[in-house]
Amino acid sequence: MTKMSRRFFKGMIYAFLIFLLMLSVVPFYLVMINASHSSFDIVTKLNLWLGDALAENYRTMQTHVNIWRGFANSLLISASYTLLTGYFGAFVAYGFAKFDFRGKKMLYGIVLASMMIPSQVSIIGFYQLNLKLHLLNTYWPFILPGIASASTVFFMRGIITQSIPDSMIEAARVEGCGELRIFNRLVYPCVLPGIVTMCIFNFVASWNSYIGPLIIVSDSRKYTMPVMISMIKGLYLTNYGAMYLAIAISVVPIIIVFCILSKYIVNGMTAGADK
Amino acid sequence: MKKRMIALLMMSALVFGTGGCGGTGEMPEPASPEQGSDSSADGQTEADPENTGEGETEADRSVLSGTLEVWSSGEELGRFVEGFQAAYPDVTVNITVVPNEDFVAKLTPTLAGGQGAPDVFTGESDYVKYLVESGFWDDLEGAPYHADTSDMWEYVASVGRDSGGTLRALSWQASPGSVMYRRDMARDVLGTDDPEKVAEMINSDEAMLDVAARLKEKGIKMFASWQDILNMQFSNRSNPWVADNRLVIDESMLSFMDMAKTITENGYDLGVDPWAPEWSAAVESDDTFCYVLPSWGYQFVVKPSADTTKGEWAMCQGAVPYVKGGTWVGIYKDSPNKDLAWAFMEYCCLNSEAQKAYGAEYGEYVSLKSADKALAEQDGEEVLGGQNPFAFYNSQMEKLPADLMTAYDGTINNAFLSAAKDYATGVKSKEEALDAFKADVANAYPEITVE
Repeated sequence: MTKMSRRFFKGMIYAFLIFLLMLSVVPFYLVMINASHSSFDIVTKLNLWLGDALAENYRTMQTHVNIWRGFANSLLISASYTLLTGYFGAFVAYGFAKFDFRGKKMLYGIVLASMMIPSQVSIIGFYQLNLKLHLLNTYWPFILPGIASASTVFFMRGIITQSIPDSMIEAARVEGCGELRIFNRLVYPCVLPGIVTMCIFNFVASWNSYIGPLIIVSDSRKYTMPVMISMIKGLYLTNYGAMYLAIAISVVPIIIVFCILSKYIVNGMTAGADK
Repeated sequence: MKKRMIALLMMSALVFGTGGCGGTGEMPEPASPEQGSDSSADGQTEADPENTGEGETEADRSVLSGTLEVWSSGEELGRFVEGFQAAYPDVTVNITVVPNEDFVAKLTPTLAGGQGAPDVFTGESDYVKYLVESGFWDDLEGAPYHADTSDMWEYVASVGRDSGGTLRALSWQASPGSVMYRRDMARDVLGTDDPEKVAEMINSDEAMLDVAARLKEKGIKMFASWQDILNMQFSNRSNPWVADNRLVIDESMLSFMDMAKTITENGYDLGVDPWAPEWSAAVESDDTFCYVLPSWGYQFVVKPSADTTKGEWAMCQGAVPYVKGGTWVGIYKDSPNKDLAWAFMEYCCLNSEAQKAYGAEYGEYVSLKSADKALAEQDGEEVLGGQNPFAFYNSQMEKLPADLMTAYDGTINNAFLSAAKDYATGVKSKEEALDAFKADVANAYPEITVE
């Protein structure tokens, strides 16, 4: 291959990558830009640069809902939920991956089966359960299930089975390390990249969850971000500008979480277990 | 679609669920004794002089105190709170606005459980008949309410009556329809912008299509979306969607499908769905002639967007007078605050002075004849070139046909629109589209016989 054609080839790859980058960044960019335009501008033209309706959109948004309140509510729920899934998910997965006990297959089957049921189906039962437990209008129904996240268990079990050799755990036991300590000090740090990956998914899912908070919470001051965004829309009125602004605000934590956590994914991957 | 499935699931679960867990449904928890919402704080300081001192006696008001929980699918009901609290200073009204498309999904489990249920809740036209028939709303003509609906437009009250004739819901609004057209284009193409004369030119489906053809010659599309016309055709039917648990496809619905096809094939509309950006933007366009929308369409679509076209709009009657949409409100049968609930409902739905003030401020067409007639005396709208929409709507309300609403309308309408769209765009033949429509209805409501 000549130098010219190699350079050309490289150029093509770059062009392709830049195209892909645009494809994924432009929608976000448009959301941010549209947040500063009036509803009428948004529906009539493609806006590529900042408009002057940001303050007005903010006012419209705040007259409908208190978005910062919703932001704080969502953050509280999502952060707590994510932390719980990160720890307990790995904890249960470790049990399934490295211990043999009676009924293990069946229990794991139950965990898998619970992943297959769409949440919409169980929503009425979920409401009734929380009614009986007197948890309506609280955040517990969205935080506590974090200790039983089936998808995290499923994902982490695979990772722990693959990346933690039995010999490592045995070595720790021989050294006189307790089981809890083995998990906390040895297994947990080794599978951190996997946990972080799951945490990103769980955070995003919890942050965006809509139908659950809508049904369980009736006090409008306790509404979460997605419910509030939906409230801005109104029945016949379409406040696009205010909606875009609210969406732009709601996207920010997801981006921040991803920026912070993605560092750990890379770090973790280079740190091996068997040194 | 997914959301609709959930709502349906909820509805059916509610029907079965209430029987199963009657034990929990008896005693609803009293409304949470929390401090007033933001709006209540405002209401006490800014008493509206127009709304105080009318009707009720002072003694009545001082007796009533407490907190009222209201769930509403829109914000409009909240606009009454300020005036209401000026009249009833000791009552706090907590309005929870729930997005309309998820309103049933939220309401259903709560009503099934009975606990934490609101004292008052709304029902939008798509599902109001379902709520009216469900029995969750109290009989408003019985004790302690004794509602007198003599001043309310008959249509509005009739929607609130269940099949046994019991009054379950009232409304503060009515939504008569119009064809809202551009005066400048009418002058240009039709030679006049006078609503009476334009109405005559479009007084039947065929006439509308003739006008559409004339507009087309000048490069103007008559409709923003043909789907809007269903709003009107809906009142042109002689049968409801469902009668005796059977699906009935009215003759007018079949001709509507043909009309949709003609419009699509000839390019008489923009070829977009209602509420699409292009559809909303057509208010300010120079090639779209009219919207076929009820009163809320003027208030929320044309009026807020009209800028350079201010004064160039007018409304007239289309092929038939019609009414479409609206939100009703009723009192939960196990509410512990029935007195407060009724005071609030009476204020919104039956207090002519309150409605007059509301209609004047927000331009919304209200449900009491006396209030609408008073509002018709006022100056016209700038956007409509001085036409008074209340006067126009009043004339339409007089001519309305009987109410043919059913509990199934929201879902069936959507299924029908998608079938009509498939036919209009040539994806399916008429028979195929109708078969798909019937299958959709049968899937959504197994209890309905579909032939």
